[in-house]
Amino acid sequence: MRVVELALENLRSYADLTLPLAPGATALIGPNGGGKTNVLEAIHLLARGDSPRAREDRELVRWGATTARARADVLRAESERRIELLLFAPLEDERRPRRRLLLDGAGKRPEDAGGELVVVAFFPEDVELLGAAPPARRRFLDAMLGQVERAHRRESRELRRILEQRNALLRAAREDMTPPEAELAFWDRELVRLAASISLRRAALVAELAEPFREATARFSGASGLELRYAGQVGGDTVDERAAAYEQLLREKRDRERWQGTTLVGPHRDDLSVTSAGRPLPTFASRGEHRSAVLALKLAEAGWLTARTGETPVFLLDDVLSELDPARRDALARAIPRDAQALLTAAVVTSLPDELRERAAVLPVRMGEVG
Amino acid sequence: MPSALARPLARLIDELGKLPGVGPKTAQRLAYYILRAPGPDAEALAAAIRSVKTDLRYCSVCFNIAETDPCAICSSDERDAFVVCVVEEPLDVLAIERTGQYRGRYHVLHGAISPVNGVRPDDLKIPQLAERVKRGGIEELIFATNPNLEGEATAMYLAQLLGGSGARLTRLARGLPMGGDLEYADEVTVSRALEGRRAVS
Repeated sequence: MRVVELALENLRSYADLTLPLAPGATALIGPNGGGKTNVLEAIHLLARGDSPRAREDRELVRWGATTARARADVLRAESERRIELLLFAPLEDERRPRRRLLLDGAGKRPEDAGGELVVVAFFPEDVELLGAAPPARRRFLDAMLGQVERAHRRESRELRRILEQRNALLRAAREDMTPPEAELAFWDRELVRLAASISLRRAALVAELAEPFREATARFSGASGLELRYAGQVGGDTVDERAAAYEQLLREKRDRERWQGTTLVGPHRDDLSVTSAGRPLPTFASRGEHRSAVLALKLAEAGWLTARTGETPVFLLDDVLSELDPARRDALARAIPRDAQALLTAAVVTSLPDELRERAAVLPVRMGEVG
Repeated sequence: MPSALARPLARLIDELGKLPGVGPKTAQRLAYYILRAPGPDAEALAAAIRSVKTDLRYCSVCFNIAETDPCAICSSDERDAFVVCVVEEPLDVLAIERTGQYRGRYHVLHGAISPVNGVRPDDLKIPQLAERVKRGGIEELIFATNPNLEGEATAMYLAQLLGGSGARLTRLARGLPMGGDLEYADEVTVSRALEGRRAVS
């Protein structure tokens, strides 16, 4: 699939931009602060409903404007889709209107963003993925699943609400010393149901990623023997097995949960682990090795998304090349499938590996102007 | 800085602005409307507001808002005392009354269980419901709490609490709205509707 045209209004540095995009690779070249990343960020936003950089919609709206609009016309194997997103930056003491999402002009719930345009993204923030705290890795897995399975998006949202309620109950019960058993029953049941389903999907995903990840790391860094594993609280190949295991675990941890006033059981405690000969990656890897491992993970993601959706995802590679040595640049360039639309940013055209320089369209970007 | 607004007007705008769904601009518009309205209209509004606070009370049986205690429904001989429909809010009573089908009585919980908002069973009229069931004479309890997380939590808690009471416990059916289109329904609604499918007779 590919983005045929991207249009931005009052988004970040762009007052009004209409950008037709070619199939294949496109390199956005220009000085830092010129607006290259904003183009990639906008596509990520339309594809997955969130930005890798902005916490709030307000940050995405151009300074002085109250509304921003982003639109992508997407060409898929058998269909065309127009995705439009309206973001609001309300004035002081005004209530914030919700985002608006339009698919082919029809209003949808903003939570339903995702899946229409499938992307694999590498932003500078991702370098920390394997060294950062576990929530980043859980988000990585959930975002990948969320692109192809609506049910996963919905259940992740439900789990967040269940955890909020259950934690609030445990805290309140700890404070006034009331036994919460009868009140916990409903939240326990929902927690077990969602935990079983979410953890099973994640574990299956990681199992499918393990081999492509091993291959990609070998190609990239020459490093071999990197193991990808889902570090979950329970095992099991079916939802029922996992549900039984979670119920058991809930019983075991009951006293501790009451004492700590928080939910200790559930997929919000799981992690994605990368080990080499049994040692966790963060303890010995250099920054370069981290970068290579994350890139390998993203390439494995691309392969998985292709297999799942039957179409090649769009690659968004922000400032990846500048910090890679020539051999790894070439390896990355070769790893991007020829039929994939790929958008790369770089400060200077010379950082493009030869292989890409031959086939990529070059778009100069400066001062919020493209082309 | 001296305010350009006379103090009584500013006070009215502030008070109106506290109402749900009313922002600063709407509050201003309403305040000026009230200011310009003929005398009796504004007086009638003020009297109506005062009256809801002074002339209304909770029915001591079902906890609906009423002018009398017990309320008209609880004291009516034409209403079936063996069936009690449990709802979250007084407005839900109106929704069920509008069907014209229901001949039983009610119990208004005044909310749903939501620990995040500090609402636990004893903050609702749940102990009073348990008491009412214990007094006997109720054959069926219909849980008509909302089909959302908090409503489901409340219904399940009530089911546990009142399971041994001998009353039949039922829950309102969930599924597709009348007059709606299947293709526009979300997947949760459709799967609930599938679970709750019935034989065509």
